[in-house]
Amino acid sequence: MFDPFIVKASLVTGVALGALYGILAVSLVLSFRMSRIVAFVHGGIALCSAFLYWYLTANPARTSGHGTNLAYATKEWPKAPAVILAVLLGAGLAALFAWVATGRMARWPRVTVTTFALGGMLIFTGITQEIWPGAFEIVPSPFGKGRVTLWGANVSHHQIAVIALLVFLVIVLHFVVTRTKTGVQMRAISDDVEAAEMVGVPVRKISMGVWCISGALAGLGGVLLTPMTRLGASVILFVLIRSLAGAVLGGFKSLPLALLGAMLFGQVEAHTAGGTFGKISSGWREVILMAVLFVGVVIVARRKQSQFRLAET
Amino acid sequence: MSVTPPKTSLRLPGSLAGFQLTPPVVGVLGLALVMGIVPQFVKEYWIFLSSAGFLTAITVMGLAVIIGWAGQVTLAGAALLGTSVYITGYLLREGLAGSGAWPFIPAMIGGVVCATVLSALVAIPTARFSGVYVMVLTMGLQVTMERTLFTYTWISGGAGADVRVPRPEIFGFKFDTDMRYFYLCFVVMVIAGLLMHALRRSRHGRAIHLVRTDRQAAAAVGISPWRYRVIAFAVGGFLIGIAGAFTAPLYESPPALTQYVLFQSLFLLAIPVVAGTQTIVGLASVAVAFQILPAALQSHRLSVYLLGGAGLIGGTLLGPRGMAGTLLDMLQQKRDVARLSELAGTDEDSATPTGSGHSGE
Amino acid sequence: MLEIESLRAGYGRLPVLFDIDLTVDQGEVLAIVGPNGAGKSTLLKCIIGVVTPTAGRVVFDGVRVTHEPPHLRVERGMALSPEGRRIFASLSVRENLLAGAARTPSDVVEGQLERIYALFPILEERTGQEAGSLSGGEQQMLAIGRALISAPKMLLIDEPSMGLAPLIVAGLYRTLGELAAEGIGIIVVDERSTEAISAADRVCVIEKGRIASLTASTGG
Repeated sequence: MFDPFIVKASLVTGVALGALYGILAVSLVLSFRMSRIVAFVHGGIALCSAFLYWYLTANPARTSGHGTNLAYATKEWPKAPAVILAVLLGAGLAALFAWVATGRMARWPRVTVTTFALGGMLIFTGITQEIWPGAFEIVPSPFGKGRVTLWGANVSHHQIAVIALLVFLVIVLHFVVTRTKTGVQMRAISDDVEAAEMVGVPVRKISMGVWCISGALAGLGGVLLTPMTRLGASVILFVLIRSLAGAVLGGFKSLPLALLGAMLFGQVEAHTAGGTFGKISSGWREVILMAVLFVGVVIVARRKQSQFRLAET
Repeated sequence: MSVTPPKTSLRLPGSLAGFQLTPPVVGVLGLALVMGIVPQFVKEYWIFLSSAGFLTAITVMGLAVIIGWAGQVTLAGAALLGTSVYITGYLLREGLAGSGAWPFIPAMIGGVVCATVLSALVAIPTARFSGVYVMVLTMGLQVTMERTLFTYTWISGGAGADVRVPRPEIFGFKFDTDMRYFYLCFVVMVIAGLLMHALRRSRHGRAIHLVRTDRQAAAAVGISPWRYRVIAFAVGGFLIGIAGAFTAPLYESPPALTQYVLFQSLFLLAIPVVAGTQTIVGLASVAVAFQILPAALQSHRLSVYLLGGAGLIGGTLLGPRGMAGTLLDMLQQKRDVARLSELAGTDEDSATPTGSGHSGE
Repeated sequence: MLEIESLRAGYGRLPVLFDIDLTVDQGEVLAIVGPNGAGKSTLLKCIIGVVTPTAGRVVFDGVRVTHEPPHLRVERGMALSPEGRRIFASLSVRENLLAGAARTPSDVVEGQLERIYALFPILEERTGQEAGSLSGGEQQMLAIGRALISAPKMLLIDEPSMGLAPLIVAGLYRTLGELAAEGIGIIVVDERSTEAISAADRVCVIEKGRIASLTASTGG
């Protein structure tokens, strides 16, 4: 039943998918730890950054509607400054959101603030749709078009670079969170915001900083994930949900676990889609993925509940 | 923190004995008057759109039950609606196991049961969790439905295919024109609103409210928070199912899948968030406005994303009681301030610290 | 060193404190006692800055700090050990202590760590342990240690004896006496008034949000 060729190829595809979901998963965990909300707004931020990057770098001859008066006059900038601008845009939009979420809404119920985050996602999505209505574009990779074959799977340089970058970022961020003074303050805030404030942690400043970093990551995520898919509102949302599943599987707590969760989710998806377990219809695949998410949530929520029983009610 | 709903009934001088002109009653009477006259002078397109608006109103009543009573946010609104639309549509066209097309009422029951059961099913395992996880899981349900049931063209009817869904015939009366269907939708909306009103006043409604306000207190008086959360989800699913069942024949052919995707869930969610969950008339008005606005402002190309996003952001900034609630609060505040200043001279010390209107979940 | 002038505070539209006037000098221990809900904890929260007063002012070291955020006040030399201990359960003992030193220079932190470990040797033993696993008494020591880490000139302690055995409480107040002897001003809020009163130089009774009496302690 297990064809070794298919299994190997699916493994590689799974890692690539995991990387795709991992970037946003990491940024979701960062902001969750600061404000204990699901930062759906990162979906909108990723979309804005991806659109900006595409607009700055894409070849106008390769945009949809080329030759008609509906075509978008994209610039053909070099990739590096475009990536930097997109990341900065992500940080800026996140700062805008966090200004309200960590200020006025700092003590509001988490469900309300999460709903606010959904609103942010819709607004940012709406803005891109106003500027580039209906765009569903191919995005050039910042790492070129090269491809290699690894264990029977065809992998792009882009995918390899994304995985390397992601692992690097997670290691750096994990070091900051666990080993530095700022990391201690971050974790103090995520344990008990009010207590952190009372003992002199500059809560607002740290939260804003972390939100900016998570927004920058979301922006980077938008830039890095759209070359693997395409650029459109539904695509980002689709990836965001899977990233969320990855973050949940990782317990919504540590960055390496979030990456691991995203990888696990990528593996499940790759193997069910790739045929490791025989042919599975796309409908059943969704049901299986939903079941994985479900089990993840049940485990995480149970554990969280026993940890913070008083705080959560 | 929730407060007991303020008494807002206006006891007009000279009102009939025992009959109170509460805002819902005023609203219903006023609306009925408008309903009788205005539609006769409006283009057919707006009639049709208003019917859709009434059905949206029923949908958001369902969401309001879940948000307002269980204190939970569901992101599966569009999925539940779509499920009911497609199942009802399928039964109206094909029936089950070669039985041939079903009449409207049984087909409606089929759609409503599916939506109710689905909503309750997600609630059962999540009812003990904090709200954020409920959001994640309902979002999962939404996406799963989008990618399973809604994509099976034999159920949904498929996009662009030449599939007809007949307008219903209830007790021998044919609701075949847009105008007739408009009135049918309106009546159904009023019934749904009255049902919600009655339910809120019932023992169960108060229990649900208590569960939301103070879980510990609810548990202490023997109300199971878990059970009532599930009931709130089921009632919400039921109302959304009703809306879906009446949406199925609205377009006379199966509506497109894009009407029931996650973004639509968020758009629907924006309505109770803006309107607040306290007044049913407020909910219905905002729902109809949200349905008609994008079409009315079509020349300005108002993106539904922006409208929905502005709704969610504005609504959450206004606070848990929404627009209607905030207006009531402002009236109430004036009275409170007057009362407080009366008391201030004598007994101002008795005040004890409480949270800032937004604590608790 | 700390002067509070006609301070009023409340939550939302509910007033809690009315016209509080209070001063605390270097090396002085002030005990605040009074019934539940009288506004004692709110007063401490106003002093540290998590509750903003509606009127009046807080002056520390000659500087008006009434509208400064808490972390700046900690930097100026105040520290609070909050009601209910509020330690960071998932952080280690050492990290809990460091969390209280957000803006403190690292050489000061090193010195204070040594002092805290000398005061509460059990904390040094458990330095890497998750704080949530400590006993109630150990958590209280940790909360006080966390307040001391920034080498404060003014220490605010809310309900230090809550849920502790009498022997430990006696030890705690001995420690507070030693700290005061070094010139640290201390405000301690306590419901178990006897220990607090006997350790204090002055006792302030708060009732219904007002100072009911302010007298030199006869106990110490």
